[in-house]
Amino acid sequence: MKNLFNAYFSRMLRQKFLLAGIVLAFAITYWFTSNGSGLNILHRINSDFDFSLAAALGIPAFMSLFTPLFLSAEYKGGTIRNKLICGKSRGEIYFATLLSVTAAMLLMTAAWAAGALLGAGTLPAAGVIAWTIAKMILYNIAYLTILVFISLNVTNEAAVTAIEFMSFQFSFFAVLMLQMVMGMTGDGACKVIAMMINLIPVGQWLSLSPLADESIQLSSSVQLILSAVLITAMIVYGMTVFRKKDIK
Amino acid sequence: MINLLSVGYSKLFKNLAFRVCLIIMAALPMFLTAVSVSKTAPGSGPLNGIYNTGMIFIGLLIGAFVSVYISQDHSEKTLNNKIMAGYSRAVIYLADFIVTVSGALMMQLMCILASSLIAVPARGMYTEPFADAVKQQFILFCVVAVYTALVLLICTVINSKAHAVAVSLMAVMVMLIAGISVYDMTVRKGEAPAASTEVTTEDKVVKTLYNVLPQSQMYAVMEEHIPADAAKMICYDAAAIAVMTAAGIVIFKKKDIK
Repeated sequence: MKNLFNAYFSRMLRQKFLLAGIVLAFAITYWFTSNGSGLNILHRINSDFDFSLAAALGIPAFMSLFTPLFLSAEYKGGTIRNKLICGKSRGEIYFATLLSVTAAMLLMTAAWAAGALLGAGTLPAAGVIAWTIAKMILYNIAYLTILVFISLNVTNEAAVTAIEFMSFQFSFFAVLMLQMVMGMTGDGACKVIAMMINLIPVGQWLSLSPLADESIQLSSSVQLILSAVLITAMIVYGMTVFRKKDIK
Repeated sequence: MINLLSVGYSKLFKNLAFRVCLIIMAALPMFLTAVSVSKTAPGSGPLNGIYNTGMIFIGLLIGAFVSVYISQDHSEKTLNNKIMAGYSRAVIYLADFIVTVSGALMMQLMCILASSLIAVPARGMYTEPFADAVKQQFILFCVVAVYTALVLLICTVINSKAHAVAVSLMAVMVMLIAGISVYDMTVRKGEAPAASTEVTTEDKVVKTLYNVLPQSQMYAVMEEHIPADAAKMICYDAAAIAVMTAAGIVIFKKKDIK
């Protein structure tokens, strides 16, 4: 497992696309945090740090492109088959893959946090920042479990890239539409829709961001539980499907 | 050419990405129309132009379906077979363009049909003149053809299929955001009180981009039904399609196909 992770990680660090993404994450967040006050679509602003939360959408957006491009080489070059021949179990391969893309996401999050903290003129309490980052990391991991599930179970590299990028686009539009539908429904339905929005990783981004209505926000503990449930379900389901997959 | 087209169409209808895109192009407009119906009062009259609402996503769907469809040709080595059968590269490229544009047109028709399936029974038949509706659809078809030509060009230029799909989707997304931004800037400029009569270079650039970018054309059709600069927009689209297709054919002719 450790060898597999090291191999993935060293290959990942050589990816120019990832390095460019990290630099961009820092630059865009810094610019957005220091110039966010000019955007009149944002509301519920308590400090400059809130502007950076809108820019945090770039992390799942980037990962939806990076993950298929990084992992498509696995099937293309027969690397997965070689790993199996070397005696690595499918479970080890699955977890090492997930851990490596999680490491990429953590690097992106670190760049985002640096941009946000340096760009913000006013900051909330340290506890608020820590909770926000914890929630961000968890919903991004939840999204990565979906991306890894698709990458390791669909062999066609073009289809994987299209599915994963479109999954990001559509989950973004879906949460915006669900938020719009919420305004037209009663209290009971509102709670169900709020849970649905928060179950979608991009939906949790929306509920944290200054673009959201207050009605879609759930308590931090519920959001963390929803992310944990999605992570567990996707890992269990993904591993089951991957174990049964016919790898040529 | 006819043989290539017939093979292309049979492959198109079997293509899973195309079928999924058709389903999305039916489901999404139906949802948006249902929301509009529930937001308007029952006696408020027909929802003219509602059938164009679902079109805002068509660029992304074209990006996905065209790049997956074209990559299939490369991965299954059908492209090599076509060349060995004696078809010229220009003919192969044009056949691919015609087939993919037809696929995109089917998605556009699906959007109209799906919206009307909800809007007409709920609020009655549209009252706008039929000729206007046809003109709107023609402008939107030009927009769709521009997106298709762009994605086909990207898939020809980039060898790695995963990268071609990623770049196509990114390019479409950038054009989508640029179009929306330019449309928004133009509308805000028009709404500004006591707009100055002096036309600056920035205004000219924004106005040109407004007429050139496919997404701003789409928004103009949705809001104004038949935009004031419709003829200009169609000319720009035709020029963009011609340039991108010509460039695609030139690159495809020089490409080393293994």
